[in-house]
Amino acid sequence: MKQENYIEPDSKFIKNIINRGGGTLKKCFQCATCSVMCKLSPDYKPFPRKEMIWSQWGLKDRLIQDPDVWLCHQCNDCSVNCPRGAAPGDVLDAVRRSIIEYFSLPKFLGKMVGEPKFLPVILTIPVLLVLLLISLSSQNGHGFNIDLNGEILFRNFILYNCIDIAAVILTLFIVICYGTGLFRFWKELNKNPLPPGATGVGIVSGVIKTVVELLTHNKFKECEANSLRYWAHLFIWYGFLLLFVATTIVFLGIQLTHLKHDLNLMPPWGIISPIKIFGNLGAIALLVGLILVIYNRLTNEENAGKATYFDWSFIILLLVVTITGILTEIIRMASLALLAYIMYTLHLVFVFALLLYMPYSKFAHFLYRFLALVHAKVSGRSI
Amino acid sequence: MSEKGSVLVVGGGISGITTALEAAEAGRKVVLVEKEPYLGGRVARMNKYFPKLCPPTCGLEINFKRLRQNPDIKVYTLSQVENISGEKGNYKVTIKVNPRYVDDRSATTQCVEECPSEIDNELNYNMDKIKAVRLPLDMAYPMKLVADRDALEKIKDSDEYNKFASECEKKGIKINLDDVPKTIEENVGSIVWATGWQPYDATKLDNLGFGKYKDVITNVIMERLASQNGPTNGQITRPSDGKKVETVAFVQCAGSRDENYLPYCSGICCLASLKQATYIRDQYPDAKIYIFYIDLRSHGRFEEFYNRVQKDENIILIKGKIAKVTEDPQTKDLIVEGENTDTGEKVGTKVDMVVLATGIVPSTKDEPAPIDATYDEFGFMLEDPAKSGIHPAGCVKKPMDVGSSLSDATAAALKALIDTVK
Amino acid sequence: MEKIGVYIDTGYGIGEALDIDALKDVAVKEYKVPLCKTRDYWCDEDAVGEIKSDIEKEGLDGLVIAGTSPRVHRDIFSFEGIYVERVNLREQVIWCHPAGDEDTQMLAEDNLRMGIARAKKSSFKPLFPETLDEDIDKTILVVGGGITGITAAQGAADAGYKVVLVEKEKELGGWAAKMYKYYPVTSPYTELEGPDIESKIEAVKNNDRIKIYTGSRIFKLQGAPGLFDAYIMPDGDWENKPSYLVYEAKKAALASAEGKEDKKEEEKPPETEAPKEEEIPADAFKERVGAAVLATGWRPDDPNKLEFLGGGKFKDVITNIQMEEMAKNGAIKRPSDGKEVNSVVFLQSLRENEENPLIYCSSVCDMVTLKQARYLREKNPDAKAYILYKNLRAPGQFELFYKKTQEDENIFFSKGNVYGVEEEGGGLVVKVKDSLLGEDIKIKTDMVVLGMGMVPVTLDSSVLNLDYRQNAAVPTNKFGYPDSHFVCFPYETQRTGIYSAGCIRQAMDHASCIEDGLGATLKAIQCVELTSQGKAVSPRAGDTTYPEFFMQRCTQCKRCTEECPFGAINEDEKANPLPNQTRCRRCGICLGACPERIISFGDYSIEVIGSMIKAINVPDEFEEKPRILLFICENDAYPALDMTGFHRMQYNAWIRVIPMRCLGSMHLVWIADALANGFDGMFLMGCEKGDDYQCHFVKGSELAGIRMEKIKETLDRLMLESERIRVETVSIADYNKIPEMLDEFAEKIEELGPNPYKV
Repeated sequence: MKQENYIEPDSKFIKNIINRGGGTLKKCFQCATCSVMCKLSPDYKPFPRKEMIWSQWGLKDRLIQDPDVWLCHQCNDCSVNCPRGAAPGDVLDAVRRSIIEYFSLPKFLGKMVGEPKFLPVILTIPVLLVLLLISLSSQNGHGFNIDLNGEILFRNFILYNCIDIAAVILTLFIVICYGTGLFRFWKELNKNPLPPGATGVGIVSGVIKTVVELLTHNKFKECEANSLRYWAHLFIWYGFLLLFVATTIVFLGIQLTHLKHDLNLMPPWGIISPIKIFGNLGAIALLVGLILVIYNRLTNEENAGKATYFDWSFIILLLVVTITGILTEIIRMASLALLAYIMYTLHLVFVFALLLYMPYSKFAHFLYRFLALVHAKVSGRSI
Repeated sequence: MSEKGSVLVVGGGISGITTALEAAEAGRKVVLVEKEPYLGGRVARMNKYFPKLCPPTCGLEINFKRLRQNPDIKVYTLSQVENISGEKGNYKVTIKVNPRYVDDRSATTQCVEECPSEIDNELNYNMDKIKAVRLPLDMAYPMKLVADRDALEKIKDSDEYNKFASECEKKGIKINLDDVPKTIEENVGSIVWATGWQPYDATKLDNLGFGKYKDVITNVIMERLASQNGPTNGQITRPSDGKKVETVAFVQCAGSRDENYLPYCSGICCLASLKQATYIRDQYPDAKIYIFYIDLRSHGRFEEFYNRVQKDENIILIKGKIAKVTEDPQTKDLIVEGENTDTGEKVGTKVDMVVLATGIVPSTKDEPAPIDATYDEFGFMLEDPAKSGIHPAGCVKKPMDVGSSLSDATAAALKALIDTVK
Repeated sequence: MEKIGVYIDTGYGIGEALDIDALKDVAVKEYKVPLCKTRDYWCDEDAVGEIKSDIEKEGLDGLVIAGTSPRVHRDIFSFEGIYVERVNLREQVIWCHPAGDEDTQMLAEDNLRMGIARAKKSSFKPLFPETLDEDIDKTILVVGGGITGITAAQGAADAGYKVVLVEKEKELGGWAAKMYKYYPVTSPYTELEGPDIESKIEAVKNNDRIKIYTGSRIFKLQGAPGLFDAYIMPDGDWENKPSYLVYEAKKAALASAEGKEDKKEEEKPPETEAPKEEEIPADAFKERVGAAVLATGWRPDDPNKLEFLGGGKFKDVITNIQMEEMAKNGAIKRPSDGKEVNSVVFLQSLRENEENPLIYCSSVCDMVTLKQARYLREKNPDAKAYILYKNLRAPGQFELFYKKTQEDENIFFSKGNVYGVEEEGGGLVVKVKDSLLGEDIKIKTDMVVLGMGMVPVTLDSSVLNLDYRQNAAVPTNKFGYPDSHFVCFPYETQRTGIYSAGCIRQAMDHASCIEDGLGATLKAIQCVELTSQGKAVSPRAGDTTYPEFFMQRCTQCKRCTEECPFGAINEDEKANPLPNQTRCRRCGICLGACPERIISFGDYSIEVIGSMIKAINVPDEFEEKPRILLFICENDAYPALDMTGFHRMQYNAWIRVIPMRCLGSMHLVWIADALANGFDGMFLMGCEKGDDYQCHFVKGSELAGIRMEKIKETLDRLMLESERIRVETVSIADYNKIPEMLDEFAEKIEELGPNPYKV
């Protein structure tokens, strides 16, 4: 005998979903076509049918605890086949967003990132941050000894230490805010009763399996209605990965150089240096991926799902980061000093923006989904 | 020329027949126009009516009896209304009457068996062949043969054909391929449009495998399979290999209640499937039947029939739409996939045969009346007070079961009476 | 008939298969018919012309046409004022028996003998209207002034007929007028519609063809189609009048049907009698009418039955009717404390106990709920509406209204089994099992609305108070619907000239009620028109024959008055049958019932059928040619037998076929005649009986069965094997089963050996 629960629809939550792209949710009449069309949906308590009625009824707590929301890769096989014109894919996306927002810390940031009207504020923060760094660099002794005719050395423009310190602070900020959100999310996930007879795996192998899944993107492959999405996401994901690795190595290089001056691991590196190649490949991959995404979003609205401000803001941010990054490099090699320094500044601004808003932007889905997938594997929900 | 104040009924299905008879027995002259060579329309192709599980021929026979003895009804088969002009109380109607290409007094099929030419049997949804010269139905009205001109033209110079033709001649059957359509003009005061419905084209349903897998059939085909005069003489077997069926799945709302196909509910499919489940159970005491539905819509007293069928534990009703039908390449079994929304579990049931409960499309969707009339967005004709001389009856108006069609058609007869009050 | 011409058709292969000269001899030598002709295809124009001129020249008054089944060319072989007997030599002789065979020939000859014998014995003078001393009145009586009744009255008036409209309430309009909104019945099917009944009421009031009695009821309806007298009682304290009868028994029957898995034999409603002449109050109005439309509609089922859902227990659990009233009167407030309502739970498909099946669905409840949820949201913008359904029923284009309604953020849908409603903290709690949410839930709410079922008022009341011998009420099925055969004969009741329309017939929405009102009116008009020409209404539409009663020999046994499925025959105080000519449906069941054999039709009587039996040539026992008589229902079984021939299926040629108007008209004396004439077996073939009966006359085949049981007893007493008689029910589609049935019976008879009474 299941125990009975009092049901109280959360109207605000329903509105929230609707405003964030889930406008079609009320159309669902529970025929469960979606649950069948979805390749990723497990046989026991499949999604997204139950998520649809939970959303209709505004049952926030059910959805927050529900790993299935994150098993969905929004390939939209469900939406395309829905007899009622409801788009479960979009609804689940909106639900994920509302959840990210729900766990965001501090709340106001989560809200601001989500809403266009706060865009100016959102942009000024990183700008100020970079300006601060520049001014810091100039204040101390050897600041601003840049030679517009000589070799272009960004480290003379903004000291690496400044950037690194800033980066460290930012990272801490992210770890705390994002971390708490993720931690609370994990706790919610674990409130889920395990499916009967489900044989999950240990946490470690759960993580490993998930990583493999991410690296191979095999779940994405299953998508029918929107296969382009698989490639787009794959490129972005790997592009980002490469750049992330490259940056880390550079960062470490710099730190080591500070410690032992005799080994010079200071940038700039030669164009043929492995790190450079690494990074450039990443940049290109990222660019290709982004172009694919944008193309797909623009040409194939029906199958790609409804793109919202939340999607666009992230896509564009990522795009400018990439472009400014690439330009900075090119210009530097073309040794147009002034231009190079300006472009570099811009690049930094956007990079900071990207990192700063990681816990609140679409970016955040990366680790939320990661946790959900791990949980799904541990609980035996989806292996 | 029929006299003023008479009534034109277009469509010789159960609705049209009813309107014609009721109006005539209430004292009006009636012109009944049917495009097929026989009266009875869709019900003539059915095996049984729900909920009484009685044969449609019973009701048709008594109506034909009423027709035969009623001099006030003029019946044109193989005919189409081509043009209507005028206004309420005084319409001029031109009717194209196609020839039967065979003049037959004897209503016998004896010699027809010898016919050298065969054509697809459209009546059985082309599941079998039929002689090019034939009686359309066992109990056809009119009890007259009809010939397929095109088929016979092909062979008309062959000896076997000439032999056949002369044989027929002896038996009082004259084949005349040179016969030509006639155009007839009628003058009527009121028009009842009862051209009925078409089954929805199941090949449009991407994921349900009709046309792709032989053993995926539709509910209208099932009626023929179960019918004594159908392609299998009433034996319900798998179209692919003629084997008996042990498990059958009924897929409700195959196209209906679906924005991508028919946004409305076709009203009768639930009951049709419950009924057809009993056909199978009668023939196969051990057969298992699964009916997958979104909402089981057995309105009114039909609920009792629903209860009756539910009591059979070999008929399993599952709430959840079938989204996909696939074939097991090895066993050739069909697999229907859906979610049982009551238990929240996916089902992938293996069955021998799948019946798609396809819906009703008003004939007026593709063939609107040649007169200004009002339709809804789906092509159903609406009773429009502003266009008072023409009245829809039966399934051109909305999806209806047989009983409702009869009562609706009777109501239409009164409207026609009122239009033509002397 | 005096002067008979016999026309034998040699076409269709009859000429080749049979010895035509021998057939001719039967006509000419045995029966001495003045005229007997043979040729191919008498249906040809010139041939028909020849027959016509024969009729004139020879002054024939009867024809016997031997050839195709009577079901073929009926239109061709009908001649004004001439009796035509068709002898089936094709479908039931040459098509199902070997050509040139001795037995086939014997069969053909016997068929011809029967045909000629019948034609000789038959007469058919249309009996009325000539015999009626009063004129047929064509006024249409409409009982019930709701949307159905109003439409019916308007329709009849528009068609040119006088109308008497009777409504029990002070105002016309019924439920339709009490509604706040209608759900949409026309494209685009998405928005609520306002009640539009006022204009209709006005139109009826201002129509001088329509005479309206409001605040009145039918105190008594006596007479017959075309000759009804309606006694109309204005106002008055009805409940105390003997005529307003409440069928407790019937209610109990329904309740028990609800309760049980299999419905048990439900008790018959008590025999009720219309008020006597002297009881009719002085202030009653008398109206002469021709036919009646019964449109007294429905009442909501009793919420007290739904105690477990708080029905009649909690103030804030109301019916959908109360909801409608509340909305019409303005704000939707909580009955208990008059507070603004912020949430409402709507419940559908209600039964007294969750375990029970719903015995019938009231069709509209789900749609009504959608409607009420919609206007609740209009009136109280902050209110939440919960709709808990079993199967959400929005058939046809109504689906679009459902779809539109779904879009409202604050209307929540789920399937679920509601198993309890309780009061809790000043509000209500609805407990739901197996919801689509995947769990059992409780919903806190201000108010619960019960979608009550619709009960036809004929379940409680005899309404028309018929002055009929069988009962003052129109017979109803177990739901209380006044039914005949609701699929094939909608509107028809088991009382000729009385047609039911609207929710009294089955639950339906107002749009369907409008159509229904018109349909039933058409039937009523048809009835007065046919009646005025002395013709029967369907299923024997156009039949001008009529049963005559030879009263001198009547023993007042009451069989005819009891067994007539249409209650046509009344009784006087001495229990003499009082036939009501215009109530008769010509099925002949009374004929079959009468032990004194005093009831007969011109072409269908003890004598006519008897003469056919006697006409058959029964070989004596040494010839080893048994004879079997097949009494067959002409409506379904006879066409089925034709089909057997059509498919060239062969069966035993010892069988001789006599068609019956209805198997219910089967008279025991014919069995006796047959035995006396040396027949070895008797086979009766009629339509399905029982709940899903297919008998066109409701209970004909059932009665035949009962009678045969009786005769079997007698046979046993006479030391005659009762297996010699068999009764089978077949449907028209069973033609393929018939040969086996007959052959198997023939074998049985052969085993039993010849009938000892053979001479």
